[in-house]
Amino acid sequence: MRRWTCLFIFFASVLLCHDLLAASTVQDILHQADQARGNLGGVTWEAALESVEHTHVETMTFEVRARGFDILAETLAPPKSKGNKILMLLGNMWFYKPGLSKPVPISRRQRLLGNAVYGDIAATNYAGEYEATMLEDDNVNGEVCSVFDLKSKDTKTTYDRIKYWIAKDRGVGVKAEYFTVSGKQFKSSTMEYAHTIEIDGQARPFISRIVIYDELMSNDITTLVLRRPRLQSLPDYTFDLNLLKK
Amino acid sequence: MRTTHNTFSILLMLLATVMWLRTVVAAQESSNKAHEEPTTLEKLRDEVRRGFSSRISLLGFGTAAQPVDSGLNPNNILQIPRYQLELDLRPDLALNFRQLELSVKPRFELRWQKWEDGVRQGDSTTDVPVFVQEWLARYRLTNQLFVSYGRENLQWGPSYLLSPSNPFNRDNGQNNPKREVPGMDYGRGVWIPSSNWTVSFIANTSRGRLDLIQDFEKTYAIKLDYTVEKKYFSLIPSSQENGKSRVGFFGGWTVSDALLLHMEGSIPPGEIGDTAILVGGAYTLELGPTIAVEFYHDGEGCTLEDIVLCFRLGIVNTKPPADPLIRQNYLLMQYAHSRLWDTTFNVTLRWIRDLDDSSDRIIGIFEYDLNDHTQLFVIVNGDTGTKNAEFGSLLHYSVMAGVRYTF
Repeated sequence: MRRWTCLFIFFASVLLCHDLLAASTVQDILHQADQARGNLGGVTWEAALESVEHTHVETMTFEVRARGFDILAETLAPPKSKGNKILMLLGNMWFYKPGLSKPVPISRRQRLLGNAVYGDIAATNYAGEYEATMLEDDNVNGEVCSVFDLKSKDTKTTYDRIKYWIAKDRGVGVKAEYFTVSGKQFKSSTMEYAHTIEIDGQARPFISRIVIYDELMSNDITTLVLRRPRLQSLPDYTFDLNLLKK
Repeated sequence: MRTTHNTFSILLMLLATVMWLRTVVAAQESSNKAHEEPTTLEKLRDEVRRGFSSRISLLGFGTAAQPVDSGLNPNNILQIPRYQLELDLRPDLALNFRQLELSVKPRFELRWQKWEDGVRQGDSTTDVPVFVQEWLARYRLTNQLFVSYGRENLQWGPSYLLSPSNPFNRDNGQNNPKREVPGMDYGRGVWIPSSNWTVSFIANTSRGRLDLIQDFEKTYAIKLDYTVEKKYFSLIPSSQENGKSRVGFFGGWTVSDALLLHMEGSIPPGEIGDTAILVGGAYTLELGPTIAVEFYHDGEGCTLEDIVLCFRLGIVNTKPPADPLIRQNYLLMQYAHSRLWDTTFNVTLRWIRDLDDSSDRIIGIFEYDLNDHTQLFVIVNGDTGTKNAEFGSLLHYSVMAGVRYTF
């Protein structure tokens, strides 16, 4: 009887460990993919956003300073938007534009340009904010990908549900589909990683382009091109609202 | 022409700086051609050139307004013009050099005004105000400690209607984003012990360009800011030289991706009945518009039926400086939609209800970006109250229409 009890505990432990290891692996994969999309100690880059709505094309460029999920983005062009700023600190987000007396709080859902909302320029935290279920592997542009069904852990995220393709060899997210609470797909995106940066002494691919497609209302396309990423330490004052240059 | 010695001095310094920078850039370009290795001086000039930034706007607009002949403005004694044409040159110049940040916003205005009502009926004038709207010198002593002095429009807080936590100026200028709120003179020390905490020491040393109903009193404040995951809170104890003190506060909560809640206010110690408190929230719909609602109660507000009595009996003079609202209770609803119908058309509609005298102010702000440099705008303001009410005793309506070109 005692032997059966020991065996039962042993098998139960093995199963539990297997589940924990699998969960840890999924978290690691998502975390690595998050890092390739900007979730780092300190990085500065230039971002160009191009929106094609019907026949109307509009572009904006920003200088982005990011540390983890904290972001300071300043519009460099076009001239009419020059000096506009977006500050995200610990999930709180403010917008300032010349002429306003003060930065105003904004939600991540507010539109930036085209299909892109303010939340889209932030680094992803899918490892922390979403519950992941592994689906069957798939192929994207000839690359074998792990596919995850991500469900928001709470109501505070930009998207309720995401289907996310992560390239197995490179460990980077290459495709995503975004769904409303009712389960309808309303947006999709593809990601490219032409940059290389060094993380923990290892050369790693880094995000260079995100293309966002409107799947619900139109065929509008918004492209976010990320140039010249530079790893650098960003002190707390970079993200301090009191020191935001007006 | 309204000019001052100080203004000209600053402008001369500014022009000299700009010319020097141009020389620096030219010298840098020619030296790059001549030498491969830049000298220390050239490196320094290059650093200055990279730290310089500018944003120059030209704003042209016309305003038509219909003043009210009321107890507050008998025979248009406040000299509100019926028509106004204005051309403003607004350069914003900044230089970041190592630990030092310098910025200056000189303003050059050409203004024509015509009166059709009251004491100045038939008059028209042209003037050319030249002044410095804001300037600032800030030095980073360490990565945690900054000191600054300058003329600033120092504003904070999450509220749309006004900023009751601000002991210096409650008017946050959101009724008309094309009109700049005048700056006041401040010395500031900012200490950032961590990413969660910031402590600011603020001394308001002069009224600057702000017109006040009351005499100016130097005011000192400490601002404690605490930020945590999706929430922030600030406490602002302040004291005026005449002995009056208040404790301001504000806080915000990012409830979800679309919903923000906030509150803001101030309490005079020992006079809880005079508390000013504003509570509100903003929700962004999936299609893009953001709808904001706020309720504001000011214990020091005036509830007398005729708005004139609030001034005659001195109630307004006891309120905090530059308070744009006189009564006790207000409701604000705002609808803001950027990039309407997938175009570059932005609209903001504000409705402010004075709950004490049942008057309303309705504001529409319409902006259309013609191209990368040019924006057309129309700002419409209508008051619905009687001549004794807050929103009805000065203006029936005003319309401002114009164009902004940014270089």
